[in-house]
Amino acid sequence: MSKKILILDDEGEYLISLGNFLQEFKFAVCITMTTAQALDAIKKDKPDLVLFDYKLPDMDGDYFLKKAKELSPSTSYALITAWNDPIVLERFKKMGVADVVLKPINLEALLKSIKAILKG
Amino acid sequence: MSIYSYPVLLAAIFSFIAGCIIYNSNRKSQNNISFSLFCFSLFVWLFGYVIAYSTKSEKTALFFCRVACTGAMFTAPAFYHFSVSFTEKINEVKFVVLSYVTMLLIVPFSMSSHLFLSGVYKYYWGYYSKAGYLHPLYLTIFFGMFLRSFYLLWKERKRKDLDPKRRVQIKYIFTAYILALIGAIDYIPKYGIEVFPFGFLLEISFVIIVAYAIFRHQLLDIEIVIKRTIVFASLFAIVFGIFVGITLLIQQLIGGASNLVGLAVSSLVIVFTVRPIEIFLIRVTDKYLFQKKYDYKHLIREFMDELKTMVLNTTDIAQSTVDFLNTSIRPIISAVFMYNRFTSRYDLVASNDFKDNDLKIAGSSELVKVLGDTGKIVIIRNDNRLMSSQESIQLITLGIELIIPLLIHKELIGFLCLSKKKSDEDYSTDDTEALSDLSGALSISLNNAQLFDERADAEKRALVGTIATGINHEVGNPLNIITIKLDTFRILAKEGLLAHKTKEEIIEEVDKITKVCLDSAQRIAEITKQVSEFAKPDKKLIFGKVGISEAIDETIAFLKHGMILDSEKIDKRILCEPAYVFADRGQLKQILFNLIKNASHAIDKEKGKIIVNVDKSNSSEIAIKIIDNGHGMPKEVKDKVFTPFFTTKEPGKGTGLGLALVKIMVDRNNAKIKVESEEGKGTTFTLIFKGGFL
Repeated sequence: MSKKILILDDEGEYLISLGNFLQEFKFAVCITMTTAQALDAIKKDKPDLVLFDYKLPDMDGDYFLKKAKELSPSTSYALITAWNDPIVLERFKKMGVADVVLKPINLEALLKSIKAILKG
Repeated sequence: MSIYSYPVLLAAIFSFIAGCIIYNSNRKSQNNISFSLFCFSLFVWLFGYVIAYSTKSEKTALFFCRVACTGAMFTAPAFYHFSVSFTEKINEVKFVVLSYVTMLLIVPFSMSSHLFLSGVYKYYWGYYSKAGYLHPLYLTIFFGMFLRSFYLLWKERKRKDLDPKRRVQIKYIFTAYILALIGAIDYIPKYGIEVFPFGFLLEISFVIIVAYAIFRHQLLDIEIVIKRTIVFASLFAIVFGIFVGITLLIQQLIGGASNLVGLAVSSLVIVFTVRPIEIFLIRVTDKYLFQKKYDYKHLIREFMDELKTMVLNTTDIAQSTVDFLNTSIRPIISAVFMYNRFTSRYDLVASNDFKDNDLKIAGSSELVKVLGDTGKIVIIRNDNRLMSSQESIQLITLGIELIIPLLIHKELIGFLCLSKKKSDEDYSTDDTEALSDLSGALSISLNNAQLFDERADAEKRALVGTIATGINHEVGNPLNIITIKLDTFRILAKEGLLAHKTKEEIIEEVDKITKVCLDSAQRIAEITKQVSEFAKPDKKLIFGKVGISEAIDETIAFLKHGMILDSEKIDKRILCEPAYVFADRGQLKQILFNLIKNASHAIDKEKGKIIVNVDKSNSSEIAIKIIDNGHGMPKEVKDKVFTPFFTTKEPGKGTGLGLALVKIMVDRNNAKIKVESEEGKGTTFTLIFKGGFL
């Protein structure tokens, strides 16, 4: 059975591109543009991995992560962000994100990272 | 001797001495030679009349009148000579010679015939010459020479390449010339009209002024010249009046033989009254003729008001102060030094005629210590501690005499240096008091300006932060899309995942990818353009017609990119024909940016709304209203919104400069701004710009 990955980002074109790419590698991909949608999907589908941005239009990343972990503790979470601020990144690592990927994304590195997270 | 002859005698002696000094100071210079000739001619003229006024014999009187007229005659060629020499008109030297020769030709006739001088009048002051038939001809030649001199000086004055020192010299000679011309009044009694010939007084002033202007390095201030001339002439007249009055009175009371008694009494009175009278005259001339210039308190108050309204900028304030001192206290050199936190030194920020623009005074120097300790105006030469410091000596060699410390909470934020005055007068108690008042006000405004500069820097950094966030988000996203699209294609190709696709499918795929990438690149280009538009340096304002609608759109777009404002929260309403305003494009947008940003902070996250409303105010003015339905503000806050550093935000959240900067920018764009607000209902800022319709 293919692994389920949920992507949360407010930039539609990016969301679709990344989704398509991951589908080519046989992942089941769900894309969401708001935290509400994402939390809903996490609650229902219990994805294996959630890729989310820190800057979210309706809720900040910290709060989203806390909520999502409550709903699905078994899921892995990875932050994908352009916000290259060591303090923020450190904080998320402490909060238990599996990895932090910086934008613009290096897809090969992302793929490697996803595979590593899902294997472990 | 007639009492009327005494002042003339004094003037004659003065002219003689002046002539000798001037000649001796430079025997080779034509300026000195011609001017001393002028003085000697004056001497002969005056001395002749001393005798004519005093003698009882008509015959002696006539002879000395002729001598006097010979002296007077030569003042004209001598002055012409001087003008030619001063203006260096070598071509005219032959005419100078001709003018001397003409006068020499007249001498035998004036000395021995009735053609120029036909006899003497007997006036109350003594004998005076009587004009002969040809006297008008002589007068024509005489004034002709003076007119030619005037023309030469006038032309010299109009020269564009004149150096400033020479320009000032000519200004003096001109003033003196006008005085001398009034001295021609002495010719009136020659035609039988009994007016005491007091013109010699003016000739003496003329000598003093020109001598001062030409032969001393230190030039007198023209107003001081006028002031001194008035004081001198009035003093002379009053002393002379006392002298004549008392002597005549005693003659009447005691009889003819009491000349000596009269002389003694009047001398005594003069000795005791002359100084008080002089002080009185100086005060009266200062008060009535130079009130505006010399009423320091009034001037300083005006300047202090000006300081308050001045755009907050240290350099501007310092420069205005230097300019102000230049027109009020009038030092030759002035300079303002301000403390520089980063280098711990005092740097020159504004100056006038200060020779060393790179001079820096170390914060640890003795000079700074003394200024900080005393906190009062110091005259460098009178202070032993200062005289032992190297910096003070440096300042003295640059011509500085007086230093005024600028203190805030006993800390020396800067100091003001002044040289001696242009007038050569010493600094009076009035001056130091005035300077002391000024230094207090100046310290405060300079300190404010420094703080303002620092805060404005913080504001700028905050704006840069906003822009950085905007760029990161708005440029980052499209860039990310481009990367993903290209990288996906590359990886799929590498992994062989495209192998099963047909050529057409791949071409279609590539077309899709390139289209998305181009769109994203377009988005980035758009954003960078907007940022650079906005961040344009505002050094020089470029006024022009700015379309309001576009300016508002661009500002809103920028606010959106900076993640400051959701575009759904704002409405643009243009209620008149398409309009433009006269403004600097960049500043208009900054004004709108700040006002809309402020409004966005005031409104509720859910129900908040901002309306930007454009309408005509009148036929030549456009009103732009920024209306929000936010929390509004109480009256006491509203009254202070444009005050720098005033903020209702928490510490660290606002610099309190946003609206102050808006006010400054509005002023610089010749526009107006007003604010209406009601607590709980919202706030409206109204901008009125000069403008029109497209």
